Parts: sequence; C-alpha cells; structure tokens
Amino acid sequence: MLRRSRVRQDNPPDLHEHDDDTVERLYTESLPALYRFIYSKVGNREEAEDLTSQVFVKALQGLDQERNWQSMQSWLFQVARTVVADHWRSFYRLHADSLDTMLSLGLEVRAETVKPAPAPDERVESILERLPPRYRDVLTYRFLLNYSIKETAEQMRLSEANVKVLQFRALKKAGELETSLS
Amino acid sequence: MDLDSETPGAESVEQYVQLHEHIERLRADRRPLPPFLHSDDEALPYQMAALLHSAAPDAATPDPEFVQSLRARLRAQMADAADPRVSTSEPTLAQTPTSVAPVTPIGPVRRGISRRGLLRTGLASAAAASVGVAVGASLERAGHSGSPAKANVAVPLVENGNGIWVSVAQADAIPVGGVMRFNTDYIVGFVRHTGAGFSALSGVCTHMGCILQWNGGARTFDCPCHGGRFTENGDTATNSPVAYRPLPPLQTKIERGQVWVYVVPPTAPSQPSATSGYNDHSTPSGD
Repeated sequence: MLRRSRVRQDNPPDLHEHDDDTVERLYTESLPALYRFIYSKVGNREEAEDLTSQVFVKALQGLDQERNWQSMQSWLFQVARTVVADHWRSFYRLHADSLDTMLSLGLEVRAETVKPAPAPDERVESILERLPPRYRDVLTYRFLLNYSIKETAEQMRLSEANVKVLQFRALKKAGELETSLS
Repeated sequence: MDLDSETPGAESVEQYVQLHEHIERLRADRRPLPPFLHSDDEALPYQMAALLHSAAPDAATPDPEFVQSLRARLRAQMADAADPRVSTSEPTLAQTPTSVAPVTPIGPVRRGISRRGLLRTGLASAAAASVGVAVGASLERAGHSGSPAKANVAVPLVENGNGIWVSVAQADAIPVGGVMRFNTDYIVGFVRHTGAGFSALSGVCTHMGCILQWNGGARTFDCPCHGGRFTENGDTATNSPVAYRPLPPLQTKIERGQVWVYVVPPTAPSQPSATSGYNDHSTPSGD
C-alpha cells in the first residue's frame, strides 16, 4: 500500500519558477550518465537512443519541479530503470507495463533514497575480477578488445565453436555473479 | 571439451548460436533481434553482453545528433505542455456547454468497449488497477486530517493539467438515467446521465482494481472479483460485503453534442507498438 511519506512543500525552492531552464539543465547534465546507464543495459546504440528518448519524454511528463535537484535526477533514473526492465521483460513475458503503472501512480512512488547505479565500468571490472580466468579472458577479448570469434579462438587456442560455448557460459556466470552482488 | 568444470546445466547449440548472433549485433551497435527468452535467468547472459559491450572503448557515448534531436523534441513537449491555448483550459466538474473547445472530436464515437481496449484488456485492467491505487493515495493525502475513506470525494481522478479531454459518447445516445461504460488508454469508466447532467466515474473497483460491471437492475456497479458493490454515485452500496473507498469521479463536459471525459493521455509515441493503428483520440497538443 502506498502511503504518502512526505508533506508537500508549500514554499518550494525557486527551481520551479524556471521550468525551461530546469529541464534544460536536467537534460544536459543527466543525459550522458543516463545514456551510459541505458546503454549498459541494452548494449547497442539503436535501442539506447530509443529508450533514452522514452525515459526523458515520460519522466518530464511526471516531473515535479518543486522537488529538489537530486530528487529530480533520482526520478529520471527511476523511470530509466523501469523502462529498461519493461524492455527486457517484453522479451519473455506478457508485457506488464510497469512503467505505465508507475507513471499512473505518479509521483508518490518516488523514492527519495534512489541512488544512481554504480558506473557500468566499475560493475564490469568487479565482475571480471570474480570470474574464473578462462571466462574473464574470453569476455575481455570479445568485448573489451573487440576481437572477432576467429581472433579470440586463435588467442585462446580453441575452436571457434568452443569460443561460442565459452562466451555463453562466461556471460551466464557473469550474470549469476552480478545478481548475487546486487 | 574441457571448458568448464562446473555443470553447465541444460544448454543447447541453439542457445550458443542465438547469443552469438545477438553479440554480433551489439558489436555492430545495432538493435538485436528480440531474443527468445523464457525467464529472468535466460535473460542474464544477454544483459551481461550488453553491460560488457558498454564497457568497450567508445561505446556508450551519445551521438551528438541524437542529443540535439532529443533536446528539440523535449523542448517541443515542454512548450506544448505550457501553452495555455492548447492545454490548460480549465476543466470543470459539471458540464460546461458554453466553454470554447480547445479540441475537436476526431473519429468515431465510442460506445462500449473499444477494439483497442479489447486487444489490450490485460494492460487496461492492470493500468486501471494502478490508477485505483493512485487515487487511494491521493484520497489519503487529501484526507490527512480526517477519515480517508470519506475525504474529499470530489477530487477528480485526473487532476487539471495532467490529462486530456476525450469524447466518449454522443450525448443524446445516453438517455436520462442511462449509464455507459467507456474505455480510454488507461482509464475505464462509466458515464452517467442524471437529471442534473452528465457525470463520469472511474470503473475500477477501489478494492483490488478489478473492472466493475454495471448492474442495471440493482443500479449498482458490481465487482466480479470480490463482490464489492457501489451505488451509481460511486459510494459503497449498502449490500456490499465491505465498504470500500468511493469511486473517484472524472471530469466531464458536453461539447458539440459529445460527452467529453478528462482522462490520462496516451503514452508518448516512442513505442510504436503501443500507439500505432489508432488515431481516435484527440489530444490537446495540437500536432
């Protein structure tokens, strides 16, 4: 059950008097981090652009400019998280549209405590550190060094088919580690 | 093949190939084909591929052109929202036949449940349920000094500035005493023609969010899920097993022979699947 946990400020900070400026600043300052966050969830430019647009368009509809700056940024990331979750969910489940649910719940669900996720690079690093060496190697070649399957196979003295199996298992293991970390 | 001493679990060549093709799309920075997945677990390797690809050099930096075009789009959105000519005609609770219409009726008059509503019943009821919850929250807020259940029944479901006007019925199609259900994107509701004019209520049970049925005999809105009943004014009926919060009203007006209801707007056009194929909502944004 949702409960309102705060009392609305009747005399908010002056932010909301400058709507356009506030939004412009929010956009300019948040876009790079938000885009990186979304990119780290979808891994390609096309989807990252789609989802980033979606996040801003939807977040601005529900943006409460009476909130403080940090809270507005949190809101943005919260919308982003939900958009990304919906995106992935659409692949394997009846679409539950949790974003719409959240937006129609409006601002009440805005957690003050939401913090931006750790930077993708840090997460990658911490995952790679924990993986068995072969897994770490195959992912490093494939993703960080951008080696093709053939090049990776040569480096690791494996068949190309083996590299495909290895990258699958490495990513699966990485996913398990990531889940257990968070 | 000695790749891993751990038990790999159920895996198949198809899975290796599907993930591999997915990764190749990511490396090309292209939208991958939707992976065929059954569960969170199966999605994990794909999500890790995305994460790792984002750590590749030069990835994850927004394209300047994209940054500019999205900025322009958001500015337009803000301008629409702020332009008093198109969006802030103050809706009033009662019908306002004399007000100047900022919007024109587009498309067919809706009677009963729309095709789109039928196609998206699951979504509609989920969204409607959540609206019910939201209203619960706003009623609580409104009633912080008194009993939440009775507080401020007149708080409309969609507050001014947050919605759009949608025509839901031909006014003369609903006789005095008539009740008609309507569906919009996120709101299912009922329009009533009372002696005093038209009014509208949310059609979602305030208990668990089920869609109410109009019971013309008893003149109540009945909930198929747990038997809750509401009077035509939206209050809990005396024969309801439990007293629930009243059904929140929606703002209505009559214009050009149509009954208009102030509802939650459809989502932004960034999800083509959610908006394509219908244009029978008018929006006040004027584009």
